[in-house]
Amino acid sequence: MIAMQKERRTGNSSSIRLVLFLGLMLCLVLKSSAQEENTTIPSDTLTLKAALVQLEAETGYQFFFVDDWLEGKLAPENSSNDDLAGTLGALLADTALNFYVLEDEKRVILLQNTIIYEELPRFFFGRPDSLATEVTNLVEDNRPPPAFFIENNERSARQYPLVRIGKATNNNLKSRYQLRGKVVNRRTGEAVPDLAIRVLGTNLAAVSDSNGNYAIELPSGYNVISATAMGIEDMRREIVMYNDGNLDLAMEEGLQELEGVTVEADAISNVEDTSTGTESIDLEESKNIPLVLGERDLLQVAKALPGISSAGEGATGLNVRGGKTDQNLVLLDDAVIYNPTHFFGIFQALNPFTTEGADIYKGSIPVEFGGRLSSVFDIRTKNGNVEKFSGEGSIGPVTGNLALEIPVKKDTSSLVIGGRGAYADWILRSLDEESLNNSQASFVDVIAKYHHRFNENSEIKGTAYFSRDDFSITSDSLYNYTNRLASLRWDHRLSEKTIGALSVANSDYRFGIDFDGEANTDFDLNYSINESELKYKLNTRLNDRHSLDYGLSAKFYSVNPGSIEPEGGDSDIAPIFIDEERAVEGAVYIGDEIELTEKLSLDLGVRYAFFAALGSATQRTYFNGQPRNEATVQDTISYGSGEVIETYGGPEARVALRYLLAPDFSIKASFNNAYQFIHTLTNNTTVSPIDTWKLSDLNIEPQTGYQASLGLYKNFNDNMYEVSLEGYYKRMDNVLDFKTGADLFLNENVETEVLQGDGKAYGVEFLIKKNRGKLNGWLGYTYARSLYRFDSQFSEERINGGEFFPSNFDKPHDVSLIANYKLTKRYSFSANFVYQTGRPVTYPIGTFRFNNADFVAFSDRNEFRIPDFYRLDLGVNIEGNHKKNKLAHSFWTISVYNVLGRNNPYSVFFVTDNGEVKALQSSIFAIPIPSITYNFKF
Amino acid sequence: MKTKRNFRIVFVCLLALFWNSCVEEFEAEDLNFESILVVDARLNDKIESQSINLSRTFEFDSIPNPERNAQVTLVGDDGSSFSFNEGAGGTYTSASVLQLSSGVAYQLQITTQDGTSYSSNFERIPAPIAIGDMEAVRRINNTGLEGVAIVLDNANSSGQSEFFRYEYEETYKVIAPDFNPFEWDEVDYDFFCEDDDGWGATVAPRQEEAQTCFAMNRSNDLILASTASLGTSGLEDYEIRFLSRDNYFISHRYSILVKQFHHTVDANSFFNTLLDFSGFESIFSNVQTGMLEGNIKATNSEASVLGYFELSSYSEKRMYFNYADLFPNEPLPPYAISCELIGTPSLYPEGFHATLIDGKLVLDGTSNSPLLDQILAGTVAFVGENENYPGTLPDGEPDRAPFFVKATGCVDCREYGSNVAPDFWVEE
Repeated sequence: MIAMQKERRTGNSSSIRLVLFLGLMLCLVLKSSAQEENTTIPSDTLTLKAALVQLEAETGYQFFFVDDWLEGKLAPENSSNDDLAGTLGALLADTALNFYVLEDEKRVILLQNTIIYEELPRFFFGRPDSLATEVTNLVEDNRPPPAFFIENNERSARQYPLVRIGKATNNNLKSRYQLRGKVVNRRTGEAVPDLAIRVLGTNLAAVSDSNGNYAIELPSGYNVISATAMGIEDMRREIVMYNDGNLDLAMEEGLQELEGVTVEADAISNVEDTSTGTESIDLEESKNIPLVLGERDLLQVAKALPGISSAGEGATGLNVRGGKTDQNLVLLDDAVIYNPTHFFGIFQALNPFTTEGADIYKGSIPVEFGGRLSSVFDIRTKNGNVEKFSGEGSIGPVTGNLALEIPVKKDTSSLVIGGRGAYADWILRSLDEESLNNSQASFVDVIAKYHHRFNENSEIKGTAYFSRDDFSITSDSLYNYTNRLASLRWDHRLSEKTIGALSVANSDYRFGIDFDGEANTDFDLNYSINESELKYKLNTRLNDRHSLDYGLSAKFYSVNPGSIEPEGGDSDIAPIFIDEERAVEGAVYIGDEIELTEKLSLDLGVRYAFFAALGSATQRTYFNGQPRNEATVQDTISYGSGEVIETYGGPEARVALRYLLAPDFSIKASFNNAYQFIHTLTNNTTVSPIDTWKLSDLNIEPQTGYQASLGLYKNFNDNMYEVSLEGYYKRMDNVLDFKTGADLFLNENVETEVLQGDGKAYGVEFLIKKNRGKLNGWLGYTYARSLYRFDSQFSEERINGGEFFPSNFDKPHDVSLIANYKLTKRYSFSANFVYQTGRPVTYPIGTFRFNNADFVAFSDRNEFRIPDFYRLDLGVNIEGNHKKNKLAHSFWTISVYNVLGRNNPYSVFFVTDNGEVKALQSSIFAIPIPSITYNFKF
Repeated sequence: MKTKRNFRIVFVCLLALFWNSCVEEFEAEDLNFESILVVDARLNDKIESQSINLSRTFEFDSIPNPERNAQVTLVGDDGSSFSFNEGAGGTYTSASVLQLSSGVAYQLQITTQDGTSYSSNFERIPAPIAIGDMEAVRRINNTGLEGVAIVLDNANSSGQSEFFRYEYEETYKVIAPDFNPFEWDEVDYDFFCEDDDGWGATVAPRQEEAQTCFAMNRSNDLILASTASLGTSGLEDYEIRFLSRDNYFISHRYSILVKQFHHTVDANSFFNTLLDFSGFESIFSNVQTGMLEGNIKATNSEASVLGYFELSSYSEKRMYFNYADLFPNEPLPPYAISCELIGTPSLYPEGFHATLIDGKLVLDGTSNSPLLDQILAGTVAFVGENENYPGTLPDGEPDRAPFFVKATGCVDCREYGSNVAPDFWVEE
C-alpha cells in the first residue's frame, strides 16, 4: 500500500530547494482524472474502510491505502455515484484523503492530504520565472547566517507531532495556503494575544490579535513555525500545508512572565536551563572552523570549548574537566562508541555529513545517562530526507566522503547512508620508496540510519555503524582496530502526558596487532569488548511544575582481554589466552524537573547503578596488608559460568538548581556523583588505539566520583552575546594508574600491575560567545587543575611518595578563540587559536651507572612541563554560486593548520643510544599544513 | 601525468608528517640536575667477601662520580652485623667474609658524608635453586643468524613463580692465525749511533707463548628471567647467551660460567623497570617513567635514592664446548681481525735522504720511519723478511721495506688474552 509519487518535493533543509519547489508549484498544470463506469455503494452505517473494500470488490480495482487513515471514519450516506471517481469523491469528501485512479493497471491509490501530479511541472528542468526568482531572493536574504553556532542544549520537554493541514485539490493548487486558528493558554484557556508566529527560514510572520486569532500565509508543503510570546513557552511546530486550514494552538505558560523583554526561542536557554556544564554542537553550523586536512570534526570543535581538552595534538581521547580519557561516555545514536577517532585522534570516526550534532554534558549529567564519571557525548545522526533523494560529498587531500539521503516512503521513512575512507594506502603502495611501500595507513567508516514514522505518536530509528583503521607504525607491525555498533530506538507516546523511548544497542570494539619483527618476538594479538544494552526511558509531564524522567537500563558486557600467539616457529613469545570477562550493569532512575517558582527551578534525580562481575573466571585473592604481587597471592578462586564474582553499586544523585536573577541573568548550581565500572588500561601517557578496557572484578573496584559546580550566565544585547562563568570541583576515587614500568598488556593478573588512587580536579571556565552578525564566534578561557594521588604503605604501590601530582593532561591555562567573519554570502573567513600550558612530563634528571651500564634517572612523575602549546589555524570558505539550475551546490574549504608553524611537542622522551642519553621530542604537525577540500551537495 | 605525480608527492609529505619525521632530537634545556645517591648492592649467600658500589647521578655529558667516605653496614635481625670498608671508585667491600643465613632478614644501612642516612627494607635470601642442565646448542635464532645458544634449565619445587638474574663469564681459546716464532728484538732508531748503519730493526726467537691464549669476557647486561609466564615449574631451555657462528670466541674451545642469582619478584621488577628506562621508545609507546622507587630510602631527610638492595641465593655452572663439536669439518669463524693483508711498511719515508754538509751528515725531512713507528706502537708483528731488500720494485722504485708484517693480533694472541690458561681450564 505504498504510493509512489511523481512529484518532487523538498524538505525545509534547504531554502533553495524549497524555493524551487514553490516555483514549480506555481506552474503546475493539473488534470483531473475521470472515470466512466457506473458504481454504487449502498451505505448506511458502513465504516469507510468497509465501504472501500466493498467498492474494491465491485469494481475490480485494487485500492492502496494505509489503514490508519481510515480509522474511526464512517462512510457518508448517499455516496453512490455514476462513476468510480464520483463515488470515491463522495466517500472521501469529509476526510483529508485524495485518490488517484490508474486506469491501465486498474488501481486506485488513496493519498493523505496530497495528490498525484500527472506530469512533470513545466519548469522542472529549468525555470526562467521571474516570480520565483523574486521568491528566491526573498528567502535567501533571510537565511540564518551559516556561522558555526553552538547553542546550549535546549531541552525541549514538549514534542509536538507533525501536523498536516488541508487536503490538496487538483483545481486549487497554490504556492501558499492560509493557516488560521486561535491561540489559547493551555492552563487557563484564555486567548493569547500578541503571539508572534514565524515561519522559519522565511520572513513570513503574523501576530495574534487580542482574541488570540491569527492568520498566516504559509508556503505549501513542509514548514516549521515558531510561536513566541511573553510569558508563554516557545513552541515549534512542523506543519505540512496541503490546503488552507485551521490549527489552534494551546500554549504552555512560560518560565517567566516579564514585562518589556522579548525573549527569543532558544537563544536564552543557556540562561534558563537548569543544568550546568552543558554544550551543544551543531555540526553543519561548525563547518567553517578551520581544521586539519579539511575535515569537519565534531570532536575538534568540542576541544575548543572550555573544560574539554586532550593530552596533546594527535592524542586520542578527551579529558573533560580533569577526568581521565576513559571517563567519557560517547554515544552514537544510543550505542556506545569506544574509539570515535581514526588515526590516533587526528580524524574523528564520525561522518560529518551524516552527523547532526552532539550534546555534551560535562557538569550535570542527565539522569538517564550513567556509567562514566566525567562526561557524556550524545551524538546524533541525521534523520534522512523523507521527501527527496539528496546527498553530500567531499574530496579532501587524504579522505573522501559521500553521504546520501534516500527517501524510502515519502514523508514517512528514509535511509541515510554515509561512507568515508582515506586513500593514503593506495598512494603509499604506488610509491617506489620501499620504506613507505610496506607501510599502511587507511581507515574507513560507514554508517546507515533508517527512520520510519508510523504516525504522529510512533517512530522508529535504526542505526548501523562500522569503522576500521589499519596502519603500520613501524615496518614490522600492523595495527588495526574496528568499531561496530547497531542500535534500534522506538519513540512513542503512551498518553497525552507520557512519551517513551525504548532502545536496544550493541557495540563492539576490537583491535589487533600483528608483529613480524626481526627478533624472536613475533606475535599476533587480539582484543575485543562487546556490550549490549536495553534501555527504556519515559517522560511524564505531570503538570506545569513537574516533568518526570524515569526509566531503566541493563547492559551486558563481554570482554575478550586478548590472546597473544607466537607467529612463526621461531617466536619465543609464550601463547597467552586470557579468560573472557563478563558482567552485567544495570540502572534504574527517576528525575523530576521542578519549577518551584517563576525564578527558581530544580532538577532532582536519583539513579541506582548496579554492577555484577560474572564467571566463568579465576580470580586471585591476596594477603591483606601486603602489596599485591606475585608473591602475595593467598588463593585462587574459580567461578563457574554465570556465577557472580562480585557486585558493586550505589545511588547516584543528580541535583541542579537555577535561579533567575534577571530574565537574562541566572545563577545555577549542581551536584552529582557517579560510578564507573569499566576502566582503560594503558601504559602510555596518552590514549592510543591499543588501550584495553577492563571490567571491575574481585580485585579492581569501580571508580567513583562526585562533582559540584556553580555558574553565572548572562546574555546581552538581545541574546547576541552570551557570557558564562562556571566553576567546578571534582573528586574521584579508585582511579586506575599503573605502576612504573608495568606490563599491562595481556597480564592475567592486572591487579598486580595497577594502582587505584584518588584524584581531584577543579577549575573555572569563562566563555563569551557572539551568536549573530557578520563576525561571530567565541572566546573561552579555562583555569583548571587535575591532580592524582597514589599512596600506599608499600613503595611499589606509591607514586611520588604518595603526594598529589599533576595528571598528564593538567593544563592550568587554556585559551580558545574561534572567530568567523562572513564577508559576503560566498566568502567567509575563519580563525581558530588555541593556547595551553604545556602538559606535565617526567624528565630525566641525570644519568647513573649500574652494573657497568648507564641508565637515566627520572624526576618524580610529571614534575616538569613541556613548552606551552599554541596554534593558529586559518580558513576560507568559498561557497559556489547559488544558481538554481546547478546540478550540485558546492563549496571549497581552504585552510591552513598551524599557520605559525609552531613545533608543538606532543611528547618528550629520552633514550640511551650507544650509551649516550638523547632527548627526543615528537610532534605531529610541526609545519603549517595547507589543505583544500571540495564539498558538494545535491 | 606530471600533476598526478606532484599530487602524490604532496600526499606523501603529509603522511610522512605522521610518523617518520615526527621524532627529532632536541636540546633538553632547563633540566634540573639532581645529585642522587645510587646504590648498587647485590649480595648473595656465597661465603666470600662481597662488595657494593655507591655513586652519584651525574649530568648527561659528564662521568660517574663515586660516593666517598660513606659508612656502610649490613645488619641482620638476628643481631649480626657486617661492616664494609671503602675501596677505590666507590666500592665498599665487606671487612670479613660474608656468611648470610637464609633464615635471617638483613638491612643495609648507609650514612653518606653529607650526613644523610639511608636504610633498606629488611630482605631475606630466597630458597636456593640450582642450575640444572646447561648445554650449547647449534641453532638459527629468530633474526636468521646461525650460531650457538647457551641454554639452561632449572627446577623449582615451590610451585610459585620464581625470578632470576644471570651473569656470565666466558673464557675462550684464541689461536693466532699467523703465528711466527720470531718477534721484534731491537729497534735502531738512531741514525748516527756508533755502528752508523742508519735505522733498522732486528728479530729474535720468541721467549713467551704467543700462539694460544685465553680471553675472558663478562656480561654487562641485566639478564632477567622468570617462570611467571611459563607453564612449567622451572626455566626450560632458557637462552643465556647467543653467539653467532661468525664470532671468533667459539673458534676453538669455549667455556662459560653462568652465575644464577635467585632473587625476589620485587628485585626482578626493579631491574626490569630499569631496563625499560633505557630502551628506545617509539612515538606511540612511552613507557611510564618516573622516579624509580627501590627498597632503600633516606631516613633523616627527603633525599631521593636510586638503587636496590638485592639478596639472592647463588648457583653457578660451567660448561665447555669445542667448535668442532658443533661445526664438524666446517670452516672456522673469521678471526677477530682481518689477517689477509701483508703489510710492507718502509723503513725510510719517501723522499728521505741524508746529505753530507761540512763533513756532517744531515737528514733531510722530518718524517719518521713508518716501519719503526709501527713496531714501537706495537701494531705490527714480524711475519717474514723481504728477500728483495734492498732492491728495486717492478715499477722501478726502490724497495724500502725490509720486512713483511701483519697486524700484531694476527701473530700474537696476547693481543686478545692471556697466554696462561686459567686455573679452571680443562681440555677435552
